Amino acid sequence: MARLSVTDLSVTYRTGDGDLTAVDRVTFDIQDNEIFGIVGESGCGKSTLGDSFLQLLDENGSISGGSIVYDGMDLAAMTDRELADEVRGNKISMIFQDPNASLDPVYTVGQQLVETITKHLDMNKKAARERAIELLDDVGIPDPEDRIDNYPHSFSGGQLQRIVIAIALSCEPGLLIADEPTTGLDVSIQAQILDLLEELAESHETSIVMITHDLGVVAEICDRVGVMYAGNMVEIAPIQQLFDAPRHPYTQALLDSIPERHGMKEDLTVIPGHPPDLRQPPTGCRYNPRCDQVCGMECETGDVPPTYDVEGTDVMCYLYDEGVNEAYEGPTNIVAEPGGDD
Amino acid sequence: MQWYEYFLKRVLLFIPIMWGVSIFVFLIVHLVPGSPAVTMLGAQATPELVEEIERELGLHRPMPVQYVEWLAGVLQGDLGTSYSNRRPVASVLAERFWVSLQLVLMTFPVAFVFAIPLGIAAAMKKHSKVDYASMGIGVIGVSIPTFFSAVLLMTVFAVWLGWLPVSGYVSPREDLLESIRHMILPVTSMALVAIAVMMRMMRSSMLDTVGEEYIRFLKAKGMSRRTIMLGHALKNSFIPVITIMGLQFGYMLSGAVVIEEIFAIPGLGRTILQAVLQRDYPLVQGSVLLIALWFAVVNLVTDLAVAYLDPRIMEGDS
Repeated sequence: MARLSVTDLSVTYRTGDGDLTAVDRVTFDIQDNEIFGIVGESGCGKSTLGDSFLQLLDENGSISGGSIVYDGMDLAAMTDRELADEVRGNKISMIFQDPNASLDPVYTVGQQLVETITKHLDMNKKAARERAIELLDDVGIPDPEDRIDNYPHSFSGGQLQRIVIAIALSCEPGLLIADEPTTGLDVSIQAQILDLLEELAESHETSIVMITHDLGVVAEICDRVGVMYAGNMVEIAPIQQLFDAPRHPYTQALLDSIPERHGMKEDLTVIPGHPPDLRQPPTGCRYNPRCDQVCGMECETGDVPPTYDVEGTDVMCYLYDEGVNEAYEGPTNIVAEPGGDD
Repeated sequence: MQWYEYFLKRVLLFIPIMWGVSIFVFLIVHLVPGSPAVTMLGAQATPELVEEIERELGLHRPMPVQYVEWLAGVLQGDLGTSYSNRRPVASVLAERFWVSLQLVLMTFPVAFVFAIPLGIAAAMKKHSKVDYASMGIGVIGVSIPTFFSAVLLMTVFAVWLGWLPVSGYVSPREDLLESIRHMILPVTSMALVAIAVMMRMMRSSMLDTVGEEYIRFLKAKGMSRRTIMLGHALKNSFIPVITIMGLQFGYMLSGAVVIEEIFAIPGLGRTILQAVLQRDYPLVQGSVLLIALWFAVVNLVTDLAVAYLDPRIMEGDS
């Protein structure tokens, strides 16, 4: 079953030089107990997408269209107050990149756990404290009875991320949004944190949205992956399928640029050019100026491509449309049309 | 580190600080050209008379000798005798200190009560009317010199409207109401600057804090805006404000020279000014020592308050 359904979601920032649509008509589902990765390079809109679920966007950003349905509620239509009382920290939690900056330095970790628990669960402070100790134990903090009264500065980065995870999962949310949760950590700690997330997701029956630029992280824990480019979700595929048979030229180029996939001596492949300025996105497919497989006029001058279903992969590319790409021989299955043009 | 260790360490630091100050002020005072004897004698100063008086005051001896003798006196609680009015420096200072302290103790709460809530409100409602009003007050408070605002207030409320006395000082022990009436104008002009400084610091510190990642995490875990702003952001952003408040508190006591001059208040600032003009060495030295001690104490209290609010201080940076 789909736990979260995102349909035609757009997020727009107002900037000094006009509006910028950082997430453009994105559609995807997250299933029960699934770890869903969202990958893409900096500025592709993946963090904006993650922030939009709980409406944690910067002041100048707002959801400009579409819906985010969780448990029968449209999160995109809820007020800040409603989200704070009913959803944030309770049904959906979010963790961020820098664990050293994620906790308030002037309160103990226990106080920060307890305030979250008492806010959402019907528990007094004493019961909440006991639960907090259990949670710290669950995430692998040694001597939780003593450490609970320590301030954040006395923990290491990896321990802090464990504590942040404990806080995020303290009220048994159905969904955890993790925005680059391991980027700020040492490589050895990264693997531990990923293992912890995977383990807790399973035992708490929590689905996870893992936002990352690191395909290694994706390979390690995700069940399915969405690849974002310039505000579009250009490809969604089960993990194995994405690595074995990437469909979108951007995904193919992205995989080619991973060092491990080449011999040590070979030069890394780089994708030529730069991501487009989203204030004035290119016509046609947004990737066309950098694409080495442009297959027809539509790529450069048409609309943003529709999403095609190619053997279980959702891909937003004209290569899989026999009307555009004469060389294409498979069936053309359009699963989503780009919404009305803006 | 424990509380008392921290406290003790800081109090012990007073000794080198005060010693340094004593040498510094002694040197400055004695090296500045002009002799107290000349000032005392005025137009009748002849070289013979000047020499006689200098001998009388002990100024003919080598400076190190004078310093050691003075320091020995200070350590025994004897700050010397003022040249200008022949009274013990300690009793003159005690008298003036209370006057200045009264000014500070009245000004500071006024400044606090206006500055802190206004700074918080401005930060919470950025680009609102409150914010712009606070910015206006901030610019006015910082940019209008005290002598101007003091004279302006005096002209309007004392001279034109006649609501308040023009100048002078009445001890609260003599007549509390009159004392307060005399303090309103000097307190207002002094508070204006303090309000501007403290409010701007409060506002910017709060805005900095609100941009921190833990504020986002608090929001993500469902805390209400009220809890986030008043429970978390305020406590964090108050820490740098305390330091600024301490500086203001220290400065008010010693830096009120202009205010005390304009409103003819016999406080420390005015005392120092007159003592310097008259080359009244013992009085200058005594006042500067007292002010240095005051700053050291205020700093200590400030740092203790900061350490109380910020757990990172006590444990050192590990």
